[in-house]
Amino acid sequence: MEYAVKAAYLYRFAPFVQWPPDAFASAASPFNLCVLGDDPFGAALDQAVRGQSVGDHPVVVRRLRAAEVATGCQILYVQDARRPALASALRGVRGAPVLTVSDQGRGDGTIIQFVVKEGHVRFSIDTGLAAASHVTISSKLLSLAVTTEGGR
Amino acid sequence: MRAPGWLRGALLRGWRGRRLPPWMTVVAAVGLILAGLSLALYNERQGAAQKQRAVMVQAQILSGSIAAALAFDDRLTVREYIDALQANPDIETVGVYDSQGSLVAGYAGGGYLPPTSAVRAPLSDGDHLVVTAPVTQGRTRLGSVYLRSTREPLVRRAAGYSGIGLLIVMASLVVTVLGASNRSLSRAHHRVQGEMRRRAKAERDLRRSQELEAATQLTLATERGRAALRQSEQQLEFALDAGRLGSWELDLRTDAVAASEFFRAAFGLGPDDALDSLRSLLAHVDLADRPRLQNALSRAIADGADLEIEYRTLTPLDETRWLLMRGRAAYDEEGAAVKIAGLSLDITDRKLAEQRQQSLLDELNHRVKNTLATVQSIAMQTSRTAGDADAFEHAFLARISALAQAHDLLTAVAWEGASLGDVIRRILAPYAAEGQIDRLRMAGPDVRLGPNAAVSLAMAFHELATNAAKYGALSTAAGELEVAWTVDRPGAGQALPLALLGEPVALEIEWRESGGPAVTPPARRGFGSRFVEKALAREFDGACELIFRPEGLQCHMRLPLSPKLQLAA
Repeated sequence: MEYAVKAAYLYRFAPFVQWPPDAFASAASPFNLCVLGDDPFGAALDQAVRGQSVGDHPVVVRRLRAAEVATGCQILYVQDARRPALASALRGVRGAPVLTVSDQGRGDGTIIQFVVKEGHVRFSIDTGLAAASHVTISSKLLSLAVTTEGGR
Repeated sequence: MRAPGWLRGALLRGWRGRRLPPWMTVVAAVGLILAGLSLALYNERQGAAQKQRAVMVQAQILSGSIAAALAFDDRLTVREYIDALQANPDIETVGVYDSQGSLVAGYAGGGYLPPTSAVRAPLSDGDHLVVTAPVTQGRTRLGSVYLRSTREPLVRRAAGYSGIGLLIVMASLVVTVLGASNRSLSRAHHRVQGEMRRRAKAERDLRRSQELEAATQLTLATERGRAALRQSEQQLEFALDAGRLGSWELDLRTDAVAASEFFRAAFGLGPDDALDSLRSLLAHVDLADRPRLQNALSRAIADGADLEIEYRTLTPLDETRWLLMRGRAAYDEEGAAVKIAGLSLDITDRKLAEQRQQSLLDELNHRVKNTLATVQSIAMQTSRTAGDADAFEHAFLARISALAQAHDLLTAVAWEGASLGDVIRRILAPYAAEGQIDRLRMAGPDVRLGPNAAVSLAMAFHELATNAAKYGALSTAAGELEVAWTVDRPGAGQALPLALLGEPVALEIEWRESGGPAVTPPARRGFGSRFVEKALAREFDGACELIFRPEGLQCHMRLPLSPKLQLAA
């Protein structure tokens, strides 16, 4: 149930985030929602994004193995960013317009981290890392975050 | 929009201060009420639209605020936003729905909260207004919001318009009162305007009559002035003409000369002859008098003294005339001479009279001296021949009398000479008494004698007559005397220049007595004999001879017709 909510939330981050134009190969390029490493969502993620699009970009779920390069993803989810392989992959996309999301706590090198508070799935946001990745996060989303960290 | 013609006319009449008709007041009041109602209706509509916009804004604010919370199913946050709206008493009902139309959160403050919602156009429901708005983020539809707002009740809104209505009613009343006042004022205004027009017309008439009178007076005064000026000019012209006075003026700035007809006449010039400058004037002045005239003009201009000078002019016919010129210079405000002008008088006749008078004085002087010399000679000759004092007195007085008669004769003709016949008749008149006239016979042509010749011949005939009366033909009643004279003209064969042939050259006088006592030649020559034979012959370069014939004395005189003897023809 928790990951079903998180799967829906992954897609719902997209309307509140603005990527630079060069984040897409073309105007009709798909919006790549990537899952690196273990996939805790299963079919729930595919079901959540089915038929959805962000602007003119249809949402596509891509599941990546740890060794694969995550560039080309607009949202990159890693369940445990502290694992060396995933951490290495995250370092590989640092500075690229990729909204990184993880399930772990703060300081794992991702922009958004899911947290469970009082039985509800919430999230925290690292605005400094978002700025370094050239993605702009809406103040509406920031106001909903449990915590936000800014600056480098 | 253009007002109808009748309304524009009515308004214009009103603006011109005329009376505002009563129906216009009613129309204005009704217009004000309609305008007020229109304003209230407009205000009501504007209020509704504004209210709708305000609720729409509230809905959009709520939509934007809850977008993220709705997306991530944060009902607590949504609830907080809805609770915040409850502070606004106008928002009666609020509902937030997810993308499926299901109610997420909301409240119904006495109203109805729909369990599901769909976005639709704002709906006015009596005093309520229902507004819905979508909740979107980008192009993603996240849900919708529902707001039901209350409006101010109609009664209260109507009460709010009562102030405006009251103002309109008051304005209508003011219009009505003003209309009534306007009618009253218009009547007064009409009366005042009528009075003003009448007064203005009266003032115009009065002013016109005054202007007419003033113009008439001015015309009369001008006419009188002109007539007086004309009369004065005519009098002056008449006086100048009568006095034969000319007028002249020299403009010292332009050297132009203006001269009257009489002035010009003194120079022998007509109106069209050139006399337009001082130079042309001086050209007609006798050369000897020019410096004197120029000096006199300069002195009069420099000193301001009166100019008076007599000078001679030269006419184009080389006639000399005398002119007396008087004048005075005129000066401007700075003391500079601008002109000199005056009068002139032709004194040629006076000058000639003066010359004649001088000649007469000289002649009289000469004659008095001659007469005194003659008297002195008579006295000396008479005293030499007179036997005693009585005889001297008698003879002297007689001779002086003869001399006086000759003078009388000459005086009668102003010493212009006398006729030889008159001289003889004057001397013999005492002997030509009644009954004796037949004894005297005188015959001869008219010969004009000069004054000296008349006196000398009178004295000669006096001596001859006195001798005849004492000793000759006139001493007896039977004695006769014949005096005949002829003018001798040279005949052919005489040695005279051809030019003198036929011209008189000598006067022949024959004194012949007869019938008196027998004449014997005197033993000695007396005054009379010497006077006739010597003094007379010598004076006129002629010959006089006394012939003592027994039957009577005969005296033959042949005197050349010289200027001494005879006046010029």
